[in-house]
Amino acid sequence: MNYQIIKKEFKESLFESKGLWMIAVSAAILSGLCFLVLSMKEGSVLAQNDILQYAIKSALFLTLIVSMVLGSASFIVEREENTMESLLLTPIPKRDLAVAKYLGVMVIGIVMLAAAVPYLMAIGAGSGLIVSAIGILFFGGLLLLTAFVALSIILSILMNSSKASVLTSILIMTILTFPAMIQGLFKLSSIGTFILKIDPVACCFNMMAAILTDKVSFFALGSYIMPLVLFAFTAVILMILLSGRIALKGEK
Amino acid sequence: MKKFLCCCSVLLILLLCSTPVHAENTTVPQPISVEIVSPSSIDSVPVHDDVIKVRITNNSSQTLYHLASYLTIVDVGRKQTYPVDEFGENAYQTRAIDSLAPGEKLVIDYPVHIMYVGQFCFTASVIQYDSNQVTTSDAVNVTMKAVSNLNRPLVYSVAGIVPIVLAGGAFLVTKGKTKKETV
Repeated sequence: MNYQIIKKEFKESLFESKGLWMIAVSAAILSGLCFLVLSMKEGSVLAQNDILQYAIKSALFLTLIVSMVLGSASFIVEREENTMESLLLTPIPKRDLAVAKYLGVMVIGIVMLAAAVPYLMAIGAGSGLIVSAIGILFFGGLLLLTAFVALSIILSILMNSSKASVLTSILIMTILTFPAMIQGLFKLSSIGTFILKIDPVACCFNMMAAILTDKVSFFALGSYIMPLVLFAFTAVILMILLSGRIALKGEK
Repeated sequence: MKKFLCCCSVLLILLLCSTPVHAENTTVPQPISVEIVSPSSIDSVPVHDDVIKVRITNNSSQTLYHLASYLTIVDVGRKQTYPVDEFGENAYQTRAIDSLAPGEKLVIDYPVHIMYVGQFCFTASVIQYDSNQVTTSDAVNVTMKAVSNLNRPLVYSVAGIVPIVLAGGAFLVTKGKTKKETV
């Protein structure tokens, strides 16, 4: 593994892609949501664990969106700025290039998740749920981040336009997040139950509710953890397999 | 005299026939009675699990067919009812009753999973699909108190400080980097 290229990608993600500012903006959005929930009449009657769950969901959503945008633009930006050729001429294997881009984006995602920790600590103070909340944020968040960033890197390898790549990655995320938001009878139908069992985002949210609301032990949540792990594993393997297709023009 | 007698007899007939009738005296016994047997009320904190026991009695002299029983939850404070599965997946499932013999009593359990804070009224109803008649029980009051130890000043201060610190850090780092590059 070439650590120089990882370092370069990390610096690029932080400075050239405005990663640092994105972290600050996402913290500002989280703050805005906190002010909103605390000042709203509806929000004021929410139980503490409900507010914690909303905070975790918001932090995950912001992290995934920013990471996917950065990831889906990674190789395309190199093509658009005509630096792809020199990158491909270096004696670094294509797989290492993909992994370096991937790790560069992952670091931003992890820092964004870490930026949400003070909020969880403040919201959960006195509830005894802080450790669980931070555990879910990092466990579920990292698994989702691993998968979604890998998917966005795949898109940036296969596509030529940054617009198409970013839009597709956000669409994939929206489609996978949609079942987690569904309420009502659909959840009780056989199709709904099946989708909720296999959808990784829904599994992450359900795992969170089980731990924070129902106080279920982490070790009894295998049915929620398995789809998440499988999703992350499959996405990373796919990314590594498809890294051989990195070319001057997408998929050629 | 004849006229007087006639008037008296008419008056007498009218007085005897005009028996006062009040609405409360005309209540026809309902063919079905619905009653929440237990609990009589709930006063707790989220998350609270309970079982609402509903007794349905056929008061009529004939067997009733095609009935269904269901629970309704009214949020008194927020002036709304709740959609399916907000109080647990079993709370809103209707329970089909194929037939209920005369005098037969049936007890149905509704497990509820209460996560919200507020003042609620739980009622149980039975619908007869053949006649579309609905019978509803008296309400059970449910009070869920907040157990939130939410430290508002702490949350407000964290929400105010964190973005400023991060934006300040980002500004310093990017400024330092630009300076380094120009040198």
